[in-house]
Amino acid sequence: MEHIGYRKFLKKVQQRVVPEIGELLPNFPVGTIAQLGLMPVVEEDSRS
Amino acid sequence: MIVAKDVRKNYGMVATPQTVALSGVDLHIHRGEMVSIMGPSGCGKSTLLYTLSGIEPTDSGEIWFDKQAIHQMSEKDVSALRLTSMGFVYQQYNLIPVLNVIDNVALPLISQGAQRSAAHKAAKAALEDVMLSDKLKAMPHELSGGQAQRVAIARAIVHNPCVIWADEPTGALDTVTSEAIVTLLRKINTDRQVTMVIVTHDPLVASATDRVIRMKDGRLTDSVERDRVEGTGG
Repeated sequence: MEHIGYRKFLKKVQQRVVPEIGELLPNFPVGTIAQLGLMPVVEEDSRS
Repeated sequence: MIVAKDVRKNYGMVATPQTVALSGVDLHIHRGEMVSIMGPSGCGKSTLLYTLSGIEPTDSGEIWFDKQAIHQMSEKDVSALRLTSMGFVYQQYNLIPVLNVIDNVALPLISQGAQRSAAHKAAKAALEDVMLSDKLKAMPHELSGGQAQRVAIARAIVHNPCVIWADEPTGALDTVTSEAIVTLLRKINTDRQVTMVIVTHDPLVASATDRVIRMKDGRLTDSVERDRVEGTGG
């Protein structure tokens, strides 16, 4: 797999392409995406 | 530092036969102590780790972490406590496959709202501590099992937690690699005075810890301190 960085990672979580952080790491709550301190990704990207 | 009082937990629906996971556990772990929890499969040792760390709620009893009552905290508050004060190491490393090593390690700091530059600086330092400075840009699938676990350990220490919880940290590793991981965990415990609680089947791991706690059928059956200078307590 290629490195995609936090923003694309979060976008893929939002698109349910990859699991939530909390599903992989039980110490992080499901919904950690809202806690990542990054700007939310609102636009859709159909190429991803 | 970590205190459990009469902690009980069952799995299963009320109307169906329940599995008793924890049956009145009392425990005191001191600051800076390195403790292993051993016992047969299904004895409740992983459940104990997850309840002590606030991931799994208890059915009854008390859990205190640095005088904070985890059993009375909201899920949001206990999540925040985990994020800032605890580190976790899992058997299967649980690295995020689409992030490179340095971004995996920086994740706890990014999650706390740290700037990327500061988070990466701390992540580089943590990766130096686990002797993986040459793997900053590597992807998880490019790492050996031992390297992946060292990345996971770097992620567990990057935010200077008070305690590290490890669930079978050598369970997926060969003997030689396991020895290296145990040595690393011991060094981190000594150098950083971070409390460590390790669930393990591995006598090699247990032999490196200050105290071995044994469990059976949801109860603590034995607690043996080893020949090592004890922590300051509290």
